[in-house]
Amino acid sequence: MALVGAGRISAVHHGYAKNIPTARVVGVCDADRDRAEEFARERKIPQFYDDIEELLRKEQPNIVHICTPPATHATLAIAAMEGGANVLVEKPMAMSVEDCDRMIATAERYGRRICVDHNRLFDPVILKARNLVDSGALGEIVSVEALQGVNPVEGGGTPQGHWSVSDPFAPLYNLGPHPLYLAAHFLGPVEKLKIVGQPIGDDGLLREIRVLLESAGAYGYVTFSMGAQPYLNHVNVFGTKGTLRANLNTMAMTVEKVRSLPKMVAKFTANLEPAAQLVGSTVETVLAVALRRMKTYPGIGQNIRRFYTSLDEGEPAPVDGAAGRQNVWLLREIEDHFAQPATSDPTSPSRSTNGGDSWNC
Amino acid sequence: MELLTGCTGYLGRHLAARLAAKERSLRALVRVGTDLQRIPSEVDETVFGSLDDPSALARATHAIDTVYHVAARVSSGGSRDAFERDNVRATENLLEAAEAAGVKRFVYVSSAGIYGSDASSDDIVESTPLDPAIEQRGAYAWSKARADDRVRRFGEASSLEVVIIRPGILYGAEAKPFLGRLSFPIPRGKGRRIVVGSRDNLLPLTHVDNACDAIILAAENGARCGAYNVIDGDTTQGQYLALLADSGVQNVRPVYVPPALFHPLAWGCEVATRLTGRSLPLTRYKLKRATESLRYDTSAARDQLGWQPSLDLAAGVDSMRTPPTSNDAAS
Repeated sequence: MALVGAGRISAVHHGYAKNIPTARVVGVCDADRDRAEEFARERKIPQFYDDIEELLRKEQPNIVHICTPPATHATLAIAAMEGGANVLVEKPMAMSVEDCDRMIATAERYGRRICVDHNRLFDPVILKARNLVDSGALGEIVSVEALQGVNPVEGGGTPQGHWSVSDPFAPLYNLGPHPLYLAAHFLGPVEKLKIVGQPIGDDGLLREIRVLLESAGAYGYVTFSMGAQPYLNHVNVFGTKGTLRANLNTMAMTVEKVRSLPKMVAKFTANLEPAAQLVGSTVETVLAVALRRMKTYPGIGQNIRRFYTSLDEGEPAPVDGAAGRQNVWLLREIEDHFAQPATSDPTSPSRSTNGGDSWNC
Repeated sequence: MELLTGCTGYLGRHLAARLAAKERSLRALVRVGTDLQRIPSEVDETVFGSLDDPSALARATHAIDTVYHVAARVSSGGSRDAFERDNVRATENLLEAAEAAGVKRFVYVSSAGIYGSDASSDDIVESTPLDPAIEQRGAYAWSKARADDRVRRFGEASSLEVVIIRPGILYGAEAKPFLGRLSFPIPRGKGRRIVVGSRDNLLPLTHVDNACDAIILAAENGARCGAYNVIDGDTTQGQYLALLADSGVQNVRPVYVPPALFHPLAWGCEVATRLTGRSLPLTRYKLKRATESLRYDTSAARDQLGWQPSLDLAAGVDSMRTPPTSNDAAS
């Protein structure tokens, strides 16, 4: 495998990929040659390049990780696939639905696979939640809430010039993918969306966005908030038989199910049960930290391992191009909503879009 | 043009080279996402797709005279569903696509391990019944037996001419040496291995080149709905392992242990499996099957196909000096 982009997230990818027994890291590429060289030297990667074509020609990697700013994803991923590689591309998949379509068409034409790094789908707490939902324990899913905030510590540490603070919509493209793909995963294909929120803030950044999603028979509510503190990072799934609440900051999950208990008893157990679960989760997390089993971005590692296994098995990628495309479509809808003059008429006609209907207010 | 499935696997890779040497033009059906370095250079055309994708199968079988269906799930891991999907249903899908596309011949690579064990003292011929208890030997053996049966039945009712090749344990160049069906190394034993069963047990070995010869001859001379055992000859476990050591291919010093000594362990595994619900690898039936000595009759392959092993055991073991390729690692 080879890495394109020699930044922070590329280092995380390298840390996981190098430990996969069937994989060998053959090279790294970055437009900044010095940066690629330093990255390669520090990590003992045999070759470094500043030109992806040269990397592909000389190393012939089977898998290329695209870990560059999203505006470059489509061009680099298409070059990698044309050069014979399967691609794992960081989120968001691209900056436009049209670019996603070009990437998907290239994959089909050359028999290559695309996997998008919707990493939080593979964080331990979300995997637990997914297993529970898949087992049918929550019944039919009727609603999903996904809440995303900005960690003031991490946000403050973002270097000047980093793409994620380069323009008013950049934070949306950096952090917005997470709650949108988490909600979409539990909802199924999103058919309609409704967007409200505060447009560009005083400092030029999008601050508060709320998105209502509608899929076949279920609704999602996505919160993107720079104001709420402690910062949000949660997913709540409501089913006909139970509810789960997953906290991605603390990696804890609580589940409340319908119990056939007397009303007075249920009043207590409804509090005690989640409390006991939180204590259990906390002990697990403490042990994981103590035993150094908890790594940063565990979902990235899991997604990489699953993607590599899927290639060996001839299976679809864990997050395919269609899932990545839907995510980009939602992001574009949000950007377009705020980029346009707001209308105060709630009865204004819906706009036709690339991925479904949209109704703005 | 001829279609090959499984060209990135061990047998398929060798078969592609042999077919190309005969100047056949070759199309390969490979899975989406396959490492391109693993596709043999002898392949003229590549169709990306899976054996459960009708459109890929239609593209793959278009204007094809002969299909060599070598692809199979062989890893010991995987659920029974996965083996059924990849070895049984995939074969049925390819048969149907080949028939629809007007393919003339369909050579299916089955396995000599599908026969029943109580073949008494007679040699195993192609009409020896399949193992009725094959499920007890694991999902791979079960799926190969089922697919073999499906291929034969399909051929009986179709204009497609199907031929079945049943090779034994494949060995040869670029493979990890086979070291016995039930054997394990003694830690710090300097090459010593416990090998369960007698040194005089016959091993159904087939050199990969001999298997390729039989597959190509099956396409040329095989009888419609014919099945052919393809086993190199009467080789005992003792002869083979001694030759491996003498030729320097593998430092192996076998310590032969009677199967009876492992009966209590196999029984214990069965009990543990029943109690825990987790399937453990050893059963008394597997022990019995892995340590029996079977002789295969290969006269049908010799008489009807005109096959004979071009490499004997000594030459075959000598070819193993070419080490395994690193193709199995994703790079």
